[in-house]
Amino acid sequence: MDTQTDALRVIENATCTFCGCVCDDMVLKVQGDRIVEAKNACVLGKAWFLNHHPEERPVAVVKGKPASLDEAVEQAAEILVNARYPVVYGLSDTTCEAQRVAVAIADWIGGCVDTTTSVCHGPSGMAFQGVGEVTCSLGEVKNRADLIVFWGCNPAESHPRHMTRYSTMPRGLFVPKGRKDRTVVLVDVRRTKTAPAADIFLQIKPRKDFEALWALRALIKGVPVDPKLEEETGITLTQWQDLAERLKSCKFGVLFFGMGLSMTRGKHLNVEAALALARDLNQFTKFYIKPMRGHGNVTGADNVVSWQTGYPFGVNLARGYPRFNPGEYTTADLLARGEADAALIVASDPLANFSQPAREHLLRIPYVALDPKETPTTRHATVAFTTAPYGISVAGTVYRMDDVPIRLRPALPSPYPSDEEVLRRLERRIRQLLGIGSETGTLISGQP
Amino acid sequence: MLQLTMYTIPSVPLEAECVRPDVLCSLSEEEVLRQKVLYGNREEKLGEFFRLSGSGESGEVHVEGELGKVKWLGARMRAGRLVIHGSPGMHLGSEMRGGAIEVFGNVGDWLGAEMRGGLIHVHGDAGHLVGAAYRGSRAGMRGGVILVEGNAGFEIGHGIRRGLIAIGGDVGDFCGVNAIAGTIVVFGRVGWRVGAGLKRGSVVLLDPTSGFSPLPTFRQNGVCELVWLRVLARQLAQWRFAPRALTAQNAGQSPAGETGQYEGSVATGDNDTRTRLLARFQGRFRRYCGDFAELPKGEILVRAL
Repeated sequence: MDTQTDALRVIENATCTFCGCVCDDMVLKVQGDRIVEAKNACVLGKAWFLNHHPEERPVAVVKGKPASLDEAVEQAAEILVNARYPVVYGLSDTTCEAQRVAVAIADWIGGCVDTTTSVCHGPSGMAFQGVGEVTCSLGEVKNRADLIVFWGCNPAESHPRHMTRYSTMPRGLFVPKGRKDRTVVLVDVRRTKTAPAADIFLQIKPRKDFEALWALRALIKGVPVDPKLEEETGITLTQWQDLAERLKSCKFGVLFFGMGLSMTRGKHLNVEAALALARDLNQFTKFYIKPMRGHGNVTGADNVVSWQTGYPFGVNLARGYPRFNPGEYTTADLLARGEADAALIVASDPLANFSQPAREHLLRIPYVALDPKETPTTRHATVAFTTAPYGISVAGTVYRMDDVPIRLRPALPSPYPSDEEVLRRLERRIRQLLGIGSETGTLISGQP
Repeated sequence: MLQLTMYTIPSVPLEAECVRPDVLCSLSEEEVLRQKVLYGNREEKLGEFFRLSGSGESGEVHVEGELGKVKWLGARMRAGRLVIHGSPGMHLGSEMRGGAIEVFGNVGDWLGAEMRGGLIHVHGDAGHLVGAAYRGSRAGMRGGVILVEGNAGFEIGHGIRRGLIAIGGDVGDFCGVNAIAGTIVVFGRVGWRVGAGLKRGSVVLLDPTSGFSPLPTFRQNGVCELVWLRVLARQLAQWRFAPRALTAQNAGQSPAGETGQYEGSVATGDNDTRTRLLARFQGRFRRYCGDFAELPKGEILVRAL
């Protein structure tokens, strides 16, 4: 691509980190300190790329007053080292490199480490432990899937390029005619913008996903189910039988589920039902299941916390070894119960979306926040760092929703340090204060 | 009897799995006070939180105080008697193998999780996941008895494999989910999806108006009178179990799964309660077998009107 003026730069194959699709075919045009065009980006991606403007905030704020990076790191380290029950939370909107330093900090200070997964697909993480996940990459979906089921999600609005790039539309090796070779089923409680893109739309009654999935499990095994299923789910038994037959007879099926399953009544047990259905279907055909992950690198957060502690979120490191218990060590819960006495919040805004008791407790305790933008959480933080936005100004690794790592190509320079840089300084200072980890020491983060 | 009275209320969770009669009763006073507890992320001594009186010769430990943030009391205990005057936090009697725990108060989540033996008797409410399997674990409670006179939360007896859970009040959703075997008795109302994934085992619902709605993968197969239920009733009466649904005037009015304030001990095992308890097990029960999505050898017994 030609550059039109001296100031205009073009970044090809840039990566969008707005949603879990992590599309890596962006062509960004940069003029001065702004991105002026984002080719290939969807409506969400455009909003993400085009709305970045230079911040005019201090690099750090301590107790409401601007401070140098060193002063802020010192204060933050003292807060975290002195805490008895600190929690490290957020992490889904930053790079994997920063995430692993955050986990290292949680390990040094003996705290809980939790990601925003715990308030979106956390129940899915629990269900994976209970049942297991029959998984595949989106590349396999693109090249092989002839039956796509979207359950409790609305990709047309939440992941606009999912259908065109990965799931329903693209032509693949074994589905050469693309959309014509596929059957698309949508199960949801309301007619969303995804409905017109589906061949079959089943509008089930709210909060009846478990009953429906459970009945499907019985139907595919040939076990007759109670006809009152129709009254319960709002879909006739014949329709469910038809879906069960389609599930069994497809060549390569995949079920994508969203928070319509994981965050409605039943939560992780809804997801367990869906996972068990996918598992059972493998007695008949190839069938896979994937969650539709939201934030850009929330899948990376799960991966990083998993490979470092063995569990994806809600992990406590107070005893020096990891313990996993969602509900006990998940941030929203331990704040609501008034347990945490300090927090490190990375790229997340719990003060805008947690429950009232959790928010009130967070306001009572000292906490450190890292965010590229000013948010309610950074405004009330004891120590707040302004960091450079990942994907826009920071390179690194992020994971797509199908656990595929993708490299970021930043477009704009930033006067602010990256999350990783701030966290590394913080980690180093924490180690000094704790009197552990000499310069040659080996760290969980893999860096001296 | 060894009396532990809390004098420092913890501001962050205190993990005190050393508080179990089979450990403390054989120790000297100094040794008891030196026992390690985890206060947040640092080890402290038991004596920094509890005052000690009495001796442990009888094999009995009494604990008293603001115990809401104290976790793992009586965990893995094998013998002796632990009496708690207060409302302890999570994991009370978790993985317990023997002995008895009696609580005059409410308890947190994971009461008796994965317990193997012994008896837990709670006079107040319990949280979620009573006798459940820890996340990622195959089986929950594998033996023993849990009696809760008040309400309990969600996923009671998740993955239970053996043993008995009796809830005297209401329970939340997914009571007996993924149960492998064992028995769960509920005196009050139930939430949704009772017995989902039931493989074997029995869930007994004693309130004919419990709000029970079977999953589509269960099938009703008749009405029955079962002798073992009467034997069970007599055993519960012998344990002086006083279900709230049978003692309180306003039984069944509080929403399932919500735990209220503990308002002192109910009239445990008085004659009226005993008579009502025995009567509750008399008569006919509708039997639903399932879960047909799993191994359908389980049963849900619902008391007929």
